[in-house]
Amino acid sequence: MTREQFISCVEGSQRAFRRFLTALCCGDSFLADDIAQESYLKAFMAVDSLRSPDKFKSWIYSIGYNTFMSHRRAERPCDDIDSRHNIAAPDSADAGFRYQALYAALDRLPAKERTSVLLFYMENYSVKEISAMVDASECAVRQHLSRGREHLRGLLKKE
Amino acid sequence: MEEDKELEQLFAGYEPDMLSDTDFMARLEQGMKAIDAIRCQVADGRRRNRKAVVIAALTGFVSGSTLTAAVPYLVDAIAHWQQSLPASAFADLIAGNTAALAWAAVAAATIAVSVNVYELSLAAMKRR
Repeated sequence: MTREQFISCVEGSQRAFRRFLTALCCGDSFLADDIAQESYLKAFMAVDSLRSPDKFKSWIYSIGYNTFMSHRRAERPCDDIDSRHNIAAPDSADAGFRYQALYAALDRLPAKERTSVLLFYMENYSVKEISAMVDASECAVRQHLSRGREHLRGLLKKE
Repeated sequence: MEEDKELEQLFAGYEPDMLSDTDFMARLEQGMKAIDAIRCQVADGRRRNRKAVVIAALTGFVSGSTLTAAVPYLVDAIAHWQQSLPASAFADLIAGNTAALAWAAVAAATIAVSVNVYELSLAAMKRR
C-alpha cells in the first residue's frame, strides 16, 4: 500500500473510528484522538503486513482496541476530586452533556463488553468480525454482547 | 429484539463533539513525517554499515594476502629471534611452532586491520 493509499484509507475511516473511540473512552475525546493517532501511526509503520486494503477498516479497529487496552493497563489512579475545584470546563463540555447518561453507563461496563457492544451496535460489525478484532472466540464475544446489552439497558434505565 | 433496536437507534444518532478532521489529519501527517525521517535515518545507517563492511572485507583480503606472501620471511624472523633466546622450555616451544606462530601473527594482523578500517570508514561516512 502506498502512502497516498494509506492516507486515503485514513481519510475514509477516521471519523467513524474516532467516534467509536470517543464512546469507548466514555466521552474523553482528547484521549480518543490520542489513541486514534497512535493507532494510525502503528498502522503506518506496519502497513506492509496488510495484505488486502479492503481489510484496512477492521484492521485499524483491532489496533485501536489493543491500543486502548494498553492505555487502560497503564492508567494511573485519578486525583482526588477536591483538587479539581477550579479547573475550567471547555466550551464543548455543555455539548457533551447530552451524552452524559450514555457515558456514565458505558463507563460502568467492563472494557470487553463495552467494545463488543459498540462494535456491534455502533459500527455494525458481525460477531465473527468482532471476534477477529478483539482476538476472542465468537462464543466469548456473544457472551460479552449479551452481558453488555443487559448491563447497558439496566444502567440506562436507572439514569 | 425491540430493545436491541433501541440500542441501535441510540448509537446511530451518536455524534460526539470532536476535533476537526483537518486538524486531526494535520497532526497525523506530522507523525507520519517523523516516522519517515526515522526510517530514512535507519536506512542510511544500514547503507553506511554495509559499505563499511565491504570496505573492511576488501582491505582484510588485501592485507591478508600480502601478509600470507610474507609468511616465509616471518618464519625466518621468528626462527632468528628464537635462536637469540637463552636455552629454555619457552625457546623450545617457539622452535617447535614457528610456522603456527607466523600464521597466528598474520591472522591477528588481518583481523586488526579489518576492524580498524571498518570503524574508520564508518566514522568517515558519518562525518559526511
